[in-house]
Amino acid sequence: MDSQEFTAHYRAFLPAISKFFAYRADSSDVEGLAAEVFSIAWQKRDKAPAGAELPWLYRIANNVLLNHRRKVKRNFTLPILETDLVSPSADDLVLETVTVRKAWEELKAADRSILALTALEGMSLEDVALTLKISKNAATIRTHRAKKNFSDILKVFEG
Amino acid sequence: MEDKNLNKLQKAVGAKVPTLTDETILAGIAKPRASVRKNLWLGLSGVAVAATAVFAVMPSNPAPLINLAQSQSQREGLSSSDAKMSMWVEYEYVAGSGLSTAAGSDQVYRLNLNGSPEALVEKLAARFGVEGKLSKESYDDGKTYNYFFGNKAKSEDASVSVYWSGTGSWYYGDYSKYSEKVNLPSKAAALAAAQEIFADTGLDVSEDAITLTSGDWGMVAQASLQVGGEDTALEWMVNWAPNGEIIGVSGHSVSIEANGTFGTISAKDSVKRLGDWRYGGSAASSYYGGGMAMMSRGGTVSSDVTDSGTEPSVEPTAEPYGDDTVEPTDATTEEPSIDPIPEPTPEKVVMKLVSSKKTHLLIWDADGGAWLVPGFMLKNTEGWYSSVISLVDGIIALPKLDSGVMPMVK
Repeated sequence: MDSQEFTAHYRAFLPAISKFFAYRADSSDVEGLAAEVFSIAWQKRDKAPAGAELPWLYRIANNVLLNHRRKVKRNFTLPILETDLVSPSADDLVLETVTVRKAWEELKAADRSILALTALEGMSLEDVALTLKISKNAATIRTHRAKKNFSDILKVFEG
Repeated sequence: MEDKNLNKLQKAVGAKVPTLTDETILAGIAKPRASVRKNLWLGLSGVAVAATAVFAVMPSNPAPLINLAQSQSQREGLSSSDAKMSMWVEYEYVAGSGLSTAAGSDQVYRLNLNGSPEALVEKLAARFGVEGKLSKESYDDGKTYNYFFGNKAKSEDASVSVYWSGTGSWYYGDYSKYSEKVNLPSKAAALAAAQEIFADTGLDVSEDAITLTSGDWGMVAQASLQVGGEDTALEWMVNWAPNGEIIGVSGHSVSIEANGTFGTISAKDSVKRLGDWRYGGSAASSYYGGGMAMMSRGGTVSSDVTDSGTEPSVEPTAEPYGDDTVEPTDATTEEPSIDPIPEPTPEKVVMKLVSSKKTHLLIWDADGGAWLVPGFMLKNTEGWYSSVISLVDGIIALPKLDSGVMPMVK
């Protein structure tokens, strides 16, 4: 695959990768981080799983984001769990409704992480499963549980 | 019902999603990895040059002890109005009658990196049994380096990484051991293992100082480096996968050097500094709500962990995934899937600060060095804490909100 073929093939994933970083990093970082993802993807293009490029890119994006947060934000005192580091915060998402913001802040990082992928970024459960390296059944259950938790917490704040 | 709430979530998102073009992919193809982001930044706005020039302007008399690092947004060239755009609420801070009016003094500590990064990598690799190759990478023209030891081709394999700046933070991970089959260690076994790992990697703490938390995702043991008997933001952690295997450990490699005692302002006066990011610092995570702050001390674990260590916490059951599934958006669509929302008008909120606790806050200087400086954690009526540096003016040179550096004067 030459660079033209690579670009033609991967441009379909630009919106998804853009959204992934827009929801987790400063707006001025998005393009640079996305370029880094495609740089790694280009170097490892021979290992790209045909038909599952998006989850593969998400996994690369996860690692790029982890490195970015560790390095640039020097956020080393945060919990080390990957879900804690890559799940978008209320500030990342710029949540503008007070109750939604509070509910999101109360939600566990693992729930935030999977809800962001499904409800906000529109990933299919198959892709979520591939991205997180879990079974589709587990992805289904976790998403179901996260949605329920979010609704329960939101209900409390909305009174 | 859940769908309705997810709709609210989608509509509440104010983060803007930029439209990327082929240029982004081409930049990735054309450039070596380490320079991709830098070149893009320079190409976009040239802000990197401006950021490095900021600290050329320094107050000469008296010389400040610490030159505070720029904020992320300023380093990347956002104007103050840009920064405000992301603020959805404006707080007015009011000091409650419970805050002390007494000024005082306290120690400032510099954190010095211990030894060499290569020696640290070697020690950690030996401790955790990691095999592989050492590589190092810099994202800032050689000012700082990330060291990696392991197999880069297989990111889930055991590896050690060290960021050689500031607190010398390091991380060991081995996701190849991860499994969802629940077999967490007992509380006693987890505490003993964590205490041993912490001691081996530079943090001597009693089991009472270790906090455990767990769920169906696994277990985490956490302890803070203490200064003057108080927890600081320098924290060590051990992370177990649900199957009881250790898949992550993190810590720091620094020694603490006392740099003198300096005057501090009162808790009441410090309220005037809230709302200005330059006076903030990192405190121990136990001050902050959610996640790790929900843990309790002395090895107490959350309710879904048993002492037996063998009973599964939550084995996923085949709950039906009903019609409330959110349909995926079309990945080829350029437009965000959420409805456009009007520009937000900041909501004004009066926040009363009702109590304070003295602590030492972790801050970063312009050269990437880390410091622990006196500060307060101010508690408001909502139950949240805000950090604020309490050093008197002149000890820290603050970057100006637009450019240059100014002394710590309000």
